[in-house]
Amino acid sequence: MSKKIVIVDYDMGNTLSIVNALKKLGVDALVSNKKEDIENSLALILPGVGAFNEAMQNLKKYELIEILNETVRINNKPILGICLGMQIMADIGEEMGKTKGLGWISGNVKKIDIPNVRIPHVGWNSIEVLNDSILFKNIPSDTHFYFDHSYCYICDDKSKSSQTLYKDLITSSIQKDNIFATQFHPEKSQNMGLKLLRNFLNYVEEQSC
Amino acid sequence: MLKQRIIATLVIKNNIVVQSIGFKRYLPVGKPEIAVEALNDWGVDEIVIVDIDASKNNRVIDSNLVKRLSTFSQVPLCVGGGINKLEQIKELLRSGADKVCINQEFLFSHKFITEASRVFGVQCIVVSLDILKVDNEYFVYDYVKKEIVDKLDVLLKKAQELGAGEILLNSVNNDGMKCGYDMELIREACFLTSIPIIAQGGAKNANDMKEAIGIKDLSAVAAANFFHFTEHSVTTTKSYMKKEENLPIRLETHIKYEESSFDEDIRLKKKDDEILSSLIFEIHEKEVI
Repeated sequence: MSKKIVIVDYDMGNTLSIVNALKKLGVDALVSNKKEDIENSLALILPGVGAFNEAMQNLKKYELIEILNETVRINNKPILGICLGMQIMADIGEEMGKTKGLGWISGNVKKIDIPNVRIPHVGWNSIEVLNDSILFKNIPSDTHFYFDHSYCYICDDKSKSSQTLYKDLITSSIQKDNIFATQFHPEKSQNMGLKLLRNFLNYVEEQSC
Repeated sequence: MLKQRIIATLVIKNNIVVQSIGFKRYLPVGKPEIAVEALNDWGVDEIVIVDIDASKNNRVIDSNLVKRLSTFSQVPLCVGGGINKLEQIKELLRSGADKVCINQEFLFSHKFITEASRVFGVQCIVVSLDILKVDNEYFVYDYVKKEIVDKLDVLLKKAQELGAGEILLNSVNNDGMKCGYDMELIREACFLTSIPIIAQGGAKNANDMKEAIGIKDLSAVAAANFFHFTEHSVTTTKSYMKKEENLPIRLETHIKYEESSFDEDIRLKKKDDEILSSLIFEIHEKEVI
């Protein structure tokens, strides 16, 4: 049985869109929350739509935190987090009180605190690529991706692979070794989103050789 | 900077897309799958799918329909029609929807909006308001009971307070009338609330959209009927808007109509014969991702 890309299913978010996007790229992903599937995966995708504290609660409920830590931090399998999936990689989330996140990339998640802008930050915004990431190969700065969020990731510049401007700067994607994550939805960002996913898949293929 | 969105709305009745006129008459247009695919190819920013018979018949929009349509769409889908239970929202989100649109249930149960936004996140919940103008004042209208509910400012503020992420503002008076958007309504709504607003109702052509997008505070314009009747309608609309006033919208399709011009009805003018004959020798390779 060949290894698969596993989309972590913890009842938060639109796994079907990601399945569809990967199918368009010729990849048959597995949606699962089973320990064996995650352990034996080629790479992981961590989706997420909803609230930080609920996401962490669900990860605990499905007993996924330990296996995710092992697979990602110890076995260094590639992982792509999307939207809330990116946010829970932080140390702390401040939605509905303070909740501890996975703590994979140092930072905090706070409500977008930019004066005179409408919240949520929803729609197509252009990104500025930083720190030379494989995720943005052949994707120029000023490309648009779809955002829909009220909270944002505050972290050091060195962890950011791109940022976006909404009267002030917002972290649009982060990266550390085998861990990649986007605040925007590549599975809902038409061709450029598919390109980004293709870049991730190419990286996964390289790593598995 | 965040761009303003051009959104296509598909009004569904009996599983087909229909053209809506004044919330009273409905003319058939075609299969929703084809509409979604075409709109995606033409670079639409988002698609709203509403089943207008659902509430009346005490059922919810079909999640199997949403599942099918989501395979054709690489842009966000906002779906609505008879949503009044949390489990329905969960099922629709699992079926490919990114947001849900709540119209009737907001009029009955304020508690539902609060619960839904708490469980699924504010960004998933769009409250749709049908607005009727009577004696120069704006009121929220119940299209099932066919009666006025309350003043616009009361319910708009309420929706935001309860946890709506966005407002879909439909002008009943302008629906299907091809008279342009109700600009006064848009300005008033933008003033009354600080959450994103999507304006809908009355678009005749790209010029109407250009006018509405000119209100910088407006997050998006939506049109239902307009996009169905011209080839490449979204692409030509965006191209027109960029050419005329370089408005902050996203134009990233392969075809941009940069060298094209438009007539008074904002339809593409034929290119000169010289240009057309040189095009015969151009090779455009399909991009493989």
